[in-house]
Amino acid sequence: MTANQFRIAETEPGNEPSGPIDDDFVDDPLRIRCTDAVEIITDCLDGALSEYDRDALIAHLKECEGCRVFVDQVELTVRLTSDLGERDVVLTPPDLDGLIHLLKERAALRADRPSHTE
Amino acid sequence: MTITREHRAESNLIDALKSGDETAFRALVGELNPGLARLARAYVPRSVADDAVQDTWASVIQGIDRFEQRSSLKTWIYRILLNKVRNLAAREFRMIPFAALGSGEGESAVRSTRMHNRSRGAGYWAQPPYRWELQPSDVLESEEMMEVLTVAMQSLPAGQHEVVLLRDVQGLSAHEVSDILGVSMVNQRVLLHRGRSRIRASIEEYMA
Repeated sequence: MTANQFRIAETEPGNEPSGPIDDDFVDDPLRIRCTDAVEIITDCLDGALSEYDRDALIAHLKECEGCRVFVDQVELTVRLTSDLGERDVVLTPPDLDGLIHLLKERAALRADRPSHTE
Repeated sequence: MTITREHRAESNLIDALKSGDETAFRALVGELNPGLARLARAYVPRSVADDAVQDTWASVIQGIDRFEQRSSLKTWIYRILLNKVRNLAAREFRMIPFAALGSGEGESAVRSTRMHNRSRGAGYWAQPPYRWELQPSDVLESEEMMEVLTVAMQSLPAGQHEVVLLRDVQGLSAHEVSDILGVSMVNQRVLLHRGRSRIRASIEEYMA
């Protein structure tokens, strides 16, 4: 994607930069906006971003404290959420013995009629 | 088609189950029951959920002859459970409105009002978010925080709740979750992103 294409995309309706035109962010073709960056965090963490988008995100994060903080918070959110997985662990169903009995019963039936398993 | 090592190991497990191998069955239950129970309890009350898990295992034992290994055993079992609890929830408990199973149309990770910077303009943070992630671990990992997370998860739209539960709480892979829920990898990731963003926002609100 050339710098010129990027600038054209920037001036579509609703997409006009509302900051000063000589602002670094507006002219830099590597930059995506924060509203973009925050939406591709999960893709990045999953390794699902194209190299192009990943580079754009990394370049953005280098310059943007807000998004760096956001990424840290998303990563911490995931970690804390996974802690929920350590709680209220239900190791067995209500009647495991009954299930074992059923398992053996079915196996016995199969033994009686071997053609069933073919 | 090359038979992977996993596929062969699973075939062996299936044969063991068919021959009534108690050890193999107990091991499988040990591995999967916590995740199944957690998923079920997201849909219906605890005792109903536990019964649904029991029924699922019975279905597995009774249906193992018909299982053709087109999906993994884990996926198959989760799908049996999911089918049961979704039907129960819709029919009897109305706990999750599946008409609202959507991903949250046009939902953004951060409210747009926060994305208007004085010098950079629209689409940039007005100011960086409050740095709650710098709080000490005894605050972040407290009982209160776990409560906040639990409530936040329960308030998620069904689709987002499912994915966050399976991916982040239970630790299943993106592929496994796509298979179990029958959604594309892309959609699964969208749901995950939105769910995570909402939970992050809930934490931020609590910590402010």
